[in-house]
Amino acid sequence: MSNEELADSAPRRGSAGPSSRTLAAPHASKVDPSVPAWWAQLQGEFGAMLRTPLRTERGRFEPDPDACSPALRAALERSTALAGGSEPGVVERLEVYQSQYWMRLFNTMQTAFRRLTHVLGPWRFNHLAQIHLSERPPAHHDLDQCANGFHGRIGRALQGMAAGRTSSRGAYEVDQTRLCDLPLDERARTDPCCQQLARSPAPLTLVRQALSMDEAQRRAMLAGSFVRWEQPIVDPDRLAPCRLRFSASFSLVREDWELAALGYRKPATTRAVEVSQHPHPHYWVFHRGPRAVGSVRVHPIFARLLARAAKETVGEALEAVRAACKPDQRSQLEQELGRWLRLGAESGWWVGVT
Amino acid sequence: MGGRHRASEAAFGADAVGVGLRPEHYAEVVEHGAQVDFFEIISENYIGVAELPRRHLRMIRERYPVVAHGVSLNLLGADPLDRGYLRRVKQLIEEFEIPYASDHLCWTASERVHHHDLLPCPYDPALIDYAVERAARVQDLLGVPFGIENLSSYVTWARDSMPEYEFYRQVVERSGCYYMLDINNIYVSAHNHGFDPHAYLESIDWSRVLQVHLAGHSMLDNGLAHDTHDREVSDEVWELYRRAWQAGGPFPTLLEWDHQIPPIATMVGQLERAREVRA
Repeated sequence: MSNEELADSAPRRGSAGPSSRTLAAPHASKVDPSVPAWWAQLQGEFGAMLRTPLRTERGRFEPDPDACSPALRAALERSTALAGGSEPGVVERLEVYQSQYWMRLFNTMQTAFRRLTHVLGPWRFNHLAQIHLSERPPAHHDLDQCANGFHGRIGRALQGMAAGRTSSRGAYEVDQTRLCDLPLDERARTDPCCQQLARSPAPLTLVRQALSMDEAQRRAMLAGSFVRWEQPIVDPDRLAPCRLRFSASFSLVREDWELAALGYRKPATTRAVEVSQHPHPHYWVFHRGPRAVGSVRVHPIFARLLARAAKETVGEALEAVRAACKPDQRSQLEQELGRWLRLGAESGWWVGVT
Repeated sequence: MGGRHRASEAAFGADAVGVGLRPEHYAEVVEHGAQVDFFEIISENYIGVAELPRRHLRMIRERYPVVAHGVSLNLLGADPLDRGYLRRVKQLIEEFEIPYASDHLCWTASERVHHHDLLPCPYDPALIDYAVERAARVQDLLGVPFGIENLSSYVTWARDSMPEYEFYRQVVERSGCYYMLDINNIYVSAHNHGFDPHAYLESIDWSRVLQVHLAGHSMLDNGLAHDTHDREVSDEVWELYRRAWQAGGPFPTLLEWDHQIPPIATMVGQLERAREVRA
């Protein structure tokens, strides 16, 4: 099972972003009928200046001195007045706003996608964030929502880069190929996100898993209140004909590298970090607990059961997992099943059955 | 709606001192408390779908009064006021018995894009009616005294035809709202635009000051003062605060610190300095 499949088993928040690769046009919207027209127009000019992507030619993110339109420059001409002996002009003054706009959003995106920031490094990550935010400018007073749609956008870019590499058997395969070594097809070559990702030496699966784990944690953070199934059914026989109703905050993710802990480290300041690979995959559940967002490492057999239970009844899922188990695994499944079902119900991973 | 004393007296004294509550403080405040008279919260942090911030706030509200400060109202924006946003702020006010709320004399969004910054407007008489009507509507919808905060800014507009403080005064008085007076912002803007900060203070009707803000700023290489909220209050701002207190005290005083946030003891130390300055 892939992380994308696992992530698909839980409801998504937000909608897909626009597909344009260029700076998105602002939404056509109604204005307050009493606003002076000249003021609405100036806000449009100022907003366009803010949203102009930062330049990176000199190896750092810098305001674009060409972001200021002639109309905006004319509207701000008084800004050349001296202050305290210094003489910053209109463009220098506007650069404060343009930098603030982007740095605030970069920080928010890095906090939301810490693992991805760590594995790609902040320089590459900020390029991706800038592309995402140019295509989909923040549209909500909640700053954290600027990261909505980023998981899908980068996920599609990675999928495009890996086109043709998916196993025909459908089994999950760890792809160690470095992103910079992937041959890009025509479509990927013209996608700005693919162009950025293709400069990273990180392995394809590592990047996918970092992205999935960050999104799982974000989904749990953004989920509403913790809900517990008050009188849960934990008897496997009674649950057999039922489908579990998973919480909106629940996600199951696979981890082949030491990624989980990276989500709790402050965003990297300079370079990508080296991440160790596990001898065997780990599986994590992310969910909203009663006091905080939780992440719990689960047994691989339980993980298999959870993944199947997202798509079929508990009985069908159990049957399939049992069939794939070796004898010693089967006895472990029977021994632990009751405890696992109780853990899931009491932790609010599922909130009922259908 | 009454003046500043009536707005806050039920919750804390007119000379109260407080700090901006940030998530970094939750554990420390809940476990050890803090030597403050009240906390100010960023409204937007508690009106989202996530329940957890409100859970923390409930624990803190049991021990301290709380006031609400917003950053997304978009008072001077061209977009219509967001009634859904205001409804959630009102629910917050009611749930936590918040005595007054505030936001900024600025715009933050246009064409439904939220820029998450406090952006300047021209100080043009043609905008006063617009700001007055919207501010009055906000105060009416929220049902508590609404304070309007002056901005720190880096540009001025060709259309400016009156001092900032005169524009500010007219909006506050004509709307029936109140001042949320930021002393650091006066200093930063005065430095960046070359006006006299003392003239600014002289223009204030102190009977309409709900609260005063203090914060730290930095200096950019190009000479601009930058409102960073990442350090202690500068000596120049303390001096302005002293003058403000002489002219219009007592008023509740609130320290904002939003980046490189220190232990709360450091912030409390700044509040002690505020008490010394005004003694």
